[in-house]
Amino acid sequence: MTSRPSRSAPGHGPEEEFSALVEAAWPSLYRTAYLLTGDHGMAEDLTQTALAATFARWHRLHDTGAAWGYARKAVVNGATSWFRRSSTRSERPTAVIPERAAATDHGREVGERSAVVGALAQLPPRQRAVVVLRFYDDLSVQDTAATLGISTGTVKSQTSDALARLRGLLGEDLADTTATASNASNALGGHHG
Amino acid sequence: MAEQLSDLLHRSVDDLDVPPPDAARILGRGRSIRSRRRVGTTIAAAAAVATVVVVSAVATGSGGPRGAGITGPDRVVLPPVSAADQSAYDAWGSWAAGDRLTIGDRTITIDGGIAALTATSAGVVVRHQAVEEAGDPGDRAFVLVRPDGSLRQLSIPSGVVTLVGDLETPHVAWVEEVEGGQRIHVWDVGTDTSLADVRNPLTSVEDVDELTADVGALGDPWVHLATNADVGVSVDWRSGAATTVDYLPVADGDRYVLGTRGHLSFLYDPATGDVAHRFDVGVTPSLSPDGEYLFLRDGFSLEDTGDGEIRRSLDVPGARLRDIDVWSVWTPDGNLVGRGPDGTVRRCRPDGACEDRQVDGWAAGVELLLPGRTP
Repeated sequence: MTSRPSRSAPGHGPEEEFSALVEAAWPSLYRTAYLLTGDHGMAEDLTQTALAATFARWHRLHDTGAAWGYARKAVVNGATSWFRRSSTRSERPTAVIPERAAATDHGREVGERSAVVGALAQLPPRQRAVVVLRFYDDLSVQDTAATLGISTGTVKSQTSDALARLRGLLGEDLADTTATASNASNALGGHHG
Repeated sequence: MAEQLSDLLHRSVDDLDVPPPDAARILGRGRSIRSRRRVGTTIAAAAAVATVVVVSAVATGSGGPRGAGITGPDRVVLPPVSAADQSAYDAWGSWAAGDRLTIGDRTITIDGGIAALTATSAGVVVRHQAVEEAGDPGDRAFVLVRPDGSLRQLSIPSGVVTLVGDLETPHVAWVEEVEGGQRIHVWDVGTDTSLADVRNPLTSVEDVDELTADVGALGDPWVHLATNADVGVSVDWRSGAATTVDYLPVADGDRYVLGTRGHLSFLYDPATGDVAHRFDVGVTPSLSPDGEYLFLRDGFSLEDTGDGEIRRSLDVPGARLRDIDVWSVWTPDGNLVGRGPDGTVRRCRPDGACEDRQVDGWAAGVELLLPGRTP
């Protein structure tokens, strides 16, 4: 997880503290939003909206961790709402898994990203959120349940269902992951942020 | 597999091009939200006496009204628009580029910008960009633009962010989160009056601690809610009757509602929940306002569709709409309108015939905004 700034630096007002949170949390929240929606514009809007909502209740959030968690929850809720609303009027372009990209490193990354996002798009919104929170944001079952407002049992069952479906959709990519584990671990470094 | 999936997710977005945050804009929006919360339920009352955001209209096109006035919160029933204007709107719908809004054959300018469009049979409801950014709860955020280019300020509370409209009626709906649940609001934009303010009868679902809901689709007399419990609720806002289904509603097509569950789509009767048709097309299709046509996409569709898009009737083999924008939206009379090439919109009729039209106000970098979309 990305390191988080302390909440109250001496001499800093609420807006400066919040701005520090924005700088620290933005990349991670953006990537979470992107995995949930597969859309850059929507990811940016969701992240902005979530952070704005976080600032609106800044005085009730007692530490930066709580604020970060609140923002993440707002991103997930916003993505779920967007998905419901957009289904009738628009489709996410990532719903189609594209052809494999060229066998360059960059091409591989882009192709892999498209495949991952396309596969996530095939999951129901709640399953998708469970997968992203547990396996990208590295939240525990309990924290995932709290973020989504569902029981831990539901998180477990949704995880099981989602993994079964992703195994079919991403079988090749998951196998590739094993083969490239050493490269991946180097790239991951701080994981995200 | 869990560890592999985690690696794959991280690796897939590690090199994602993340734009820098606009902290000032986020702070501004945050202040706006806080301001709205402080005002709370007095928003609607305050709106009646507060400053009216200036919206100027300069009509262009075939003899449209120039400098059309704004009809305020006086509940005046506006005179009907001409048959020609209504027909043009029904056939072409509406879109916006920058601050230029086109409705049917008319184009007007909305000072301060356009945040969102919601289409109804009476015209298109514009959410004002300047109001959204300023966040003054006294400002009027919504204005109805009628097919003749005339405007009417609406009394819908500015705290409402998302409206869902009905192409077959002058109605819009939204959900208000209240203590212990949601209230469903239905509004007639033609008369600027509230039609319904009813409580979501579904207040709890097993396994969900905090039930939330959005309007998934609007019909008459149904409001269809989609919840975070993957449950849909259709509420008859005239009688209060409600039906709960295991699908998330996304469109109302007269007889049937289009709903989704995972990769499956369903057409079901909102009064009973009975499923009439079931589709496994991967991505959610969209349903024409009269319920006669589904607009399907390539990709996970079961059909091998080649390079074109498919629009398929429920009753007859479908026509292939080549080079149509997959983000196209329905017009009131059942055409699809979306982005075309080189600053145009492309309209396709159900028989497969398509036609392009230049977008007034389009320039490089200007986004085309369609009803129900974010910019």
